[in-house]
Amino acid sequence: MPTFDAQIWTRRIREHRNPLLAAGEDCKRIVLQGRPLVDYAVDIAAKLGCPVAATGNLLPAVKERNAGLKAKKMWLAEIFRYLEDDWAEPLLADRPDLLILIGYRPAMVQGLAAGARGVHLVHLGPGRLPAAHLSVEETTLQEWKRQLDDLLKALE
Amino acid sequence: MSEKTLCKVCNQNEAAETCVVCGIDLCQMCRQVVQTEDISASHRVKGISTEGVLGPAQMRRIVCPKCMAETDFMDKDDHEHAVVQAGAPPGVRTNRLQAFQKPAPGERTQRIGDYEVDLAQVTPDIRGYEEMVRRILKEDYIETRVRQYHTQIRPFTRAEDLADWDTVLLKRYRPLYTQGPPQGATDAPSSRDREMDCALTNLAEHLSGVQKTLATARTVLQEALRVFGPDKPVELGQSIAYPACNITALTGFVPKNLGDLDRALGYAESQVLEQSSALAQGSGEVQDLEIRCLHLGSLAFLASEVEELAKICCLDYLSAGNLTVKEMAFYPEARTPVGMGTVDVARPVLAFFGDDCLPVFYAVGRLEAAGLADTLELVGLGNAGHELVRIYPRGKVLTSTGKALKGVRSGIPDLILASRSCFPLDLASHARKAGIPLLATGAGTSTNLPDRSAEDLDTLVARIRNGEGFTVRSVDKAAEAVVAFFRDFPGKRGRKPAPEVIREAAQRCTACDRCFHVCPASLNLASALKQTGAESLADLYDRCHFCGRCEEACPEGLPLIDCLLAASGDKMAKENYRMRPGRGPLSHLEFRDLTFGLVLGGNGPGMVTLLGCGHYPGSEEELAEMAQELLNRNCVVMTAGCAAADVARRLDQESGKAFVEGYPSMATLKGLVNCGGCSADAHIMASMFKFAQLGGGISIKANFDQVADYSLNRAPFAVIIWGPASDKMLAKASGFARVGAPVILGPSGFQFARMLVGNKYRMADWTMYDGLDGHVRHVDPSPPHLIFPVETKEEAVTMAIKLCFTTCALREPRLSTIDNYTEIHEKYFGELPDDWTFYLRSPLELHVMKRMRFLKILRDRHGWEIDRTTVRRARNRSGELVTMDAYLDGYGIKQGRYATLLERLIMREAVKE
Repeated sequence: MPTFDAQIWTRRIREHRNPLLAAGEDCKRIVLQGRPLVDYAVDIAAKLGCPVAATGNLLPAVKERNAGLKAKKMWLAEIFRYLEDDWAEPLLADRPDLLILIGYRPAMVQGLAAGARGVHLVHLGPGRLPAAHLSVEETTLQEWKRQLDDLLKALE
Repeated sequence: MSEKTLCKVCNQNEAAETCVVCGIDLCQMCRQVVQTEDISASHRVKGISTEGVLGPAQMRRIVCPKCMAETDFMDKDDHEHAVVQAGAPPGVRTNRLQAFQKPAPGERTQRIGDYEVDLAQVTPDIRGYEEMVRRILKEDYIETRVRQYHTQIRPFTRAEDLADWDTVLLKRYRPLYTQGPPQGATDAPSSRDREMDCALTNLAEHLSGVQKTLATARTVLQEALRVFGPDKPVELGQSIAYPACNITALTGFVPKNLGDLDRALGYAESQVLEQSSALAQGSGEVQDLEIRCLHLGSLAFLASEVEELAKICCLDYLSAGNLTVKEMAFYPEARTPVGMGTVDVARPVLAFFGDDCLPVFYAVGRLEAAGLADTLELVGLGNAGHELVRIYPRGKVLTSTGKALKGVRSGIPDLILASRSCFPLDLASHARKAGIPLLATGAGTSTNLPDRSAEDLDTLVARIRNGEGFTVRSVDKAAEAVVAFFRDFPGKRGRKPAPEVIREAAQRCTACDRCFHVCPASLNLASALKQTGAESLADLYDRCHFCGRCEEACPEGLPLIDCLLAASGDKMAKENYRMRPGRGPLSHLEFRDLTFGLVLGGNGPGMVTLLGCGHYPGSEEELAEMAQELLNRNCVVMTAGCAAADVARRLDQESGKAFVEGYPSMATLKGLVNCGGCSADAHIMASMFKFAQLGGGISIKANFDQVADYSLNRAPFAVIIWGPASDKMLAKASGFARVGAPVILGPSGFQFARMLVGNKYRMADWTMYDGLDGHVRHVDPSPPHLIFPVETKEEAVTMAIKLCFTTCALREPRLSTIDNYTEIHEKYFGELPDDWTFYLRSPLELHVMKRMRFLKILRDRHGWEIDRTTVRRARNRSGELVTMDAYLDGYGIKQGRYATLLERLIMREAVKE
């Protein structure tokens, strides 16, 4: 299993000028040693200065944690449809060059991700997304939390 | 210089000869040569031209193709003639296809009023169907209608017959493939390769789904035919004026008896074979493959309708067909128990599982005859439960198909009688773990159990007592074995999970979290087991799918399902609800009512259908919550299958009455209807056709695309498939989508191969023809999608409301949809939707109580010029500020204006003069 290196991840993420973070409903359901995954989603987006496409019912939870963060209710399938066409979604002025996914099971997004063209994909879990350019591995919840904590520190 | 004379057949080449019969000019290519030979005694020299006393033995004549086909060249009876084509050697036939020729344009007509309808224009290949097409025209069409636009009738419709319509849909709602390349693929395939692979996979899934539906339909029909014969009448009762809409829409005829059903099903089976051959070729255009998938979806409903008709007419299934509208309102009584807590476990329990109704029918029949039925608890897992309660009033529905594992591993049943199922569940293995004997039966049932069909009854019963699992092919023999077992019942068989199992599992668990990663609900089982997290096992019970993947993945082999069940005994005991068993078909009167209520009056956003198989996390109250939300908004809610039981999973807190008892069992505003088991969704689909027939006066006979055009643009219908368990549901989703009823799949919807998703920002995708002048108009993105996946029930309900937008909606219905859409979006997601303005044509379409608020938003956020309550200028989709008149001239369909997506339905020039 490849070792997670937060510095490398940070460098590769910051190479992109126009990232978008998509956070799914599992961000509310998954709690890592008392810390909901949505906290990580919000903090990572804030550190990157990128907007959040909150799918599922996640938007109120995102706004509750950081009301100043640019976030909008979106629908996962629509995001991938928009990526195929000329970008017109006002959440971002231009087409994103990086899509960060968090809170989506790999079985759910693998197909959509495999069809996405012209955008780099980073998957922050749960589990490994083979179609992503960068993905966490399928590991224990404890280890996954450690990786996310390391990534947050490296993004500061 | 003289002008050259052109051939009158091709009008291209220079003529060299003339036809000896009609005299028209002919070129070398178009001329036909007739060579006749006199075989009378004086001239019988075959093949050699001789001169006889009476003239030449052989005669060559030049004719045109028309005269060749129509003229009899035989001079005498004993003459034979051979036809030789120009340039071809003698003996070559040119009339091989004569019998196969289609009628030429104008050759066959049917008078409707004072108008001669050219049958070749109505049905390009009319061979074999002329009588049917003439009958349809005479019965269903008037002169005005056939003059107005290009009538098309497609008996026994093939996929390519609806290609125009399907292409319109696929252009607007392009496939979004939700499954990826094979695991371990090192090179990403090209877009084209991937799209083709995905389209082929999608076709394979559709074929698999439809074949399952066809198989159960054929099984029931075959049994009915053997018992009753082909002349047994098929009719649904005095209240059902249009009894077989799915069949009629595709074939063109209304079935009157079992023989007709056989003909209809045979057509469907042949069509499935045709699409199978396309899959077998492994290549083709993506669009063509998708058209075939849509066609398969329609065929699935035809098959289900055949099954339903056979069940109601031959197996005595519950049906509202002979009731008056007043009687229908609360029929059937909400007496069917639903849930794990409804079973008296002190009594022997027989559980049914599977899609085939015949094992249920025969077992119940045998038990009733033996006087045993009322001494047992007869319960159904999944669809079998819904079949059971339509023939046996005391039947109970234990769980949905998706949660059948819960019912099995609870140890409640003492014997399971199983048939084939569309849901891939290793029933034998789970029954073994719970100590429950399993008897599999029926055609097409394929298990890893030994086949004991040849053994005698006593041996079979001994095996059941021994706790074994086995197969007996004959349904009646299996029923006899069931009776024999319960006649001398040896005592409880199933093992209820004991609390100790939790302690043992907690000790052995290594917290590797593999169960978490395979769990579709992302349950943290390890921490619940070891009690290190905030949630207990009992908390997880409400969110568990009961799919069993955690147990399969656990390297320690822990019985995790048992742990969940052992911790949740109290919760299971509280599962005690009541539902109405399925009522079968819907009457045309309900749809007249709906036309006024929804389409004209706008008293609610629309009709939403709830289907599904229970394959979702969450307390099984999710569907009840969705139904409640929709009913509170005046929707009509229809259900069938496992969803019908899940919708019933709540009680009125004040009165203690069943949830469903609070709503009329009718297709009316705030009505909540259960049609029956899986196959009963055909009644819901039929409602799309009834709506077009009654609301638009459209003939449904072999006229699918016109019905679909009407429905998509006028019918505020949506379907939520919650927790689909198999590809059968994907095929049905395509069937709904094709006729204009958009579908939402969730929360496991992303597991299926393909969605049909629109892009509201691509304005070129959202156009329609003005039906009067044929101009192309830009319209609102209604409905925005045809098949769409969602993650949560809140998303499902919100999107369902949004999918009720239609381009041709009148003012009041549009007001209702805008109001409900904005309100529900804000309720669940904390903000207004970003696209509600796309659907607005007038400030009068804003609810009077909220108009000022929305006008302010239009002014402040969208730059409209508003003067108090008047819109001075509106910002159109291109961002320009224009007057409201200009806005409406350039966007949307004006109220009451006729519009269509099909070019053939544009009003003909001749009619406008």
